Amino acid sequence: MILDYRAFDTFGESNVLFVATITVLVLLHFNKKQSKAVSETQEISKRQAKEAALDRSFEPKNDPILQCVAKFLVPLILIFGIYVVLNGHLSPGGGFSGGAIMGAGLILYLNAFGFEKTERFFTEKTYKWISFAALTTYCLCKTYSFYCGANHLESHIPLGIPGHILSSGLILILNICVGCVVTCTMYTFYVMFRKGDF
Amino acid sequence: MGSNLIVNYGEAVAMILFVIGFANLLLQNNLIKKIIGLNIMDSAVYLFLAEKGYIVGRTVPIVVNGVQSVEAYINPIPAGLVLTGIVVSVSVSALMLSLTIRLYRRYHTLNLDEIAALLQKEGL
Amino acid sequence: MTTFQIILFIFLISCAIAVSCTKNLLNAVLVYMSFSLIMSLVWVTLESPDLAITEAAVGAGITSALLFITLKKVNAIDTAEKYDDFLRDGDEDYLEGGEANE
Repeated sequence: MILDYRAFDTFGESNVLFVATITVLVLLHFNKKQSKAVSETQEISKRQAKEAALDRSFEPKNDPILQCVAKFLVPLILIFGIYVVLNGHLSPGGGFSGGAIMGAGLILYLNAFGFEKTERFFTEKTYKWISFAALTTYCLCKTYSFYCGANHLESHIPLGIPGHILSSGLILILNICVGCVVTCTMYTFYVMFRKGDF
Repeated sequence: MGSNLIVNYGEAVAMILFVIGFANLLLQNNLIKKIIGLNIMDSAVYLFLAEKGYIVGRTVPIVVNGVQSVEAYINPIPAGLVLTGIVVSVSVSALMLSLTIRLYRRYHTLNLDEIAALLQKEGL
Repeated sequence: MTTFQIILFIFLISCAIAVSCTKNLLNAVLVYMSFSLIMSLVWVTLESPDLAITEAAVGAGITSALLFITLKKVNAIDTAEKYDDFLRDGDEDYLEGGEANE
């Protein structure tokens, strides 16, 4: 429903997520190298450095209970999130809920294993490229309706058999795009609050 | 006059929650309780919208067993609007919490009265 | 279904009133988390499972996690030191209890 009949609303909502992420980045981003060069107040940069160090000292340091549970739960949560995203047009769920579930799984991984292990596969570049690719794909996919809808042209996208996973036109691709954007956004919120840097 | 309110008890509960959230947003001194009040207000509005789409006796709008007639499902459009609203609500909460952290770093207090007093001393 | 719905609504209103009456910030965030969970059940009784999954994942998951980490950044969680003091005083009483009571 929200990806075909009211797809523009969903596009606007992805825009809202994007703007919120940018604002949180601007407010809470703490770059150690830059704050030494810019002549900020010495006190503020020292305090921020102390807070960042204090936060790193709170990292689990191989807490056995958390790591055992996370080793078991994180793959389950990620697979369940992917299932919810892919089955958006057949059962309850869709892009937003699946994206939030995957984001929560990534946050659990970060909490259990620390920043160094997570930085192996999720850095700032990853976030930038995934968000950019997902939003552009969404925009390009939906521009076909500008050509077909009002001019009564035929739309050539195969509709498939209702009930199968590859059916109903473009909804699957749009679900995946929205799921990617929401995952990256939720993870970015958490990392910005916790450390100020990716 | 009150008979309509009792028949539509869901909407009445949504209105009560909206008033509680709004009072929290305006009257509390602590910044974090204000943010929680805003979230409660948002949830009340979504509850009202979704109640308007519910039709007694019909079921979830998912096609099962090939039943494709319109008479067997509830109205799906309000649910779509609420879905967008929930995600916007979490974005707004994240934004306001980051502003709260910056305010705390500058003024070292979460009480709005003290922040207003400090601002007046600075001459703003 | 209707009785269940009425009980859930009463829980919702009592959670909302409890949030404004507590003095401890940690308690307020925990009550908000349970408010979000009960809201998710209300969506199920209103025949919208999409909203139930999204509210459970986003309200009781992401928003509550962000609130907890904000509380930690503003140093509003004050249980750790009091618990350590309690443990230390408790141990001393236990060790010297025999001698002091004589």
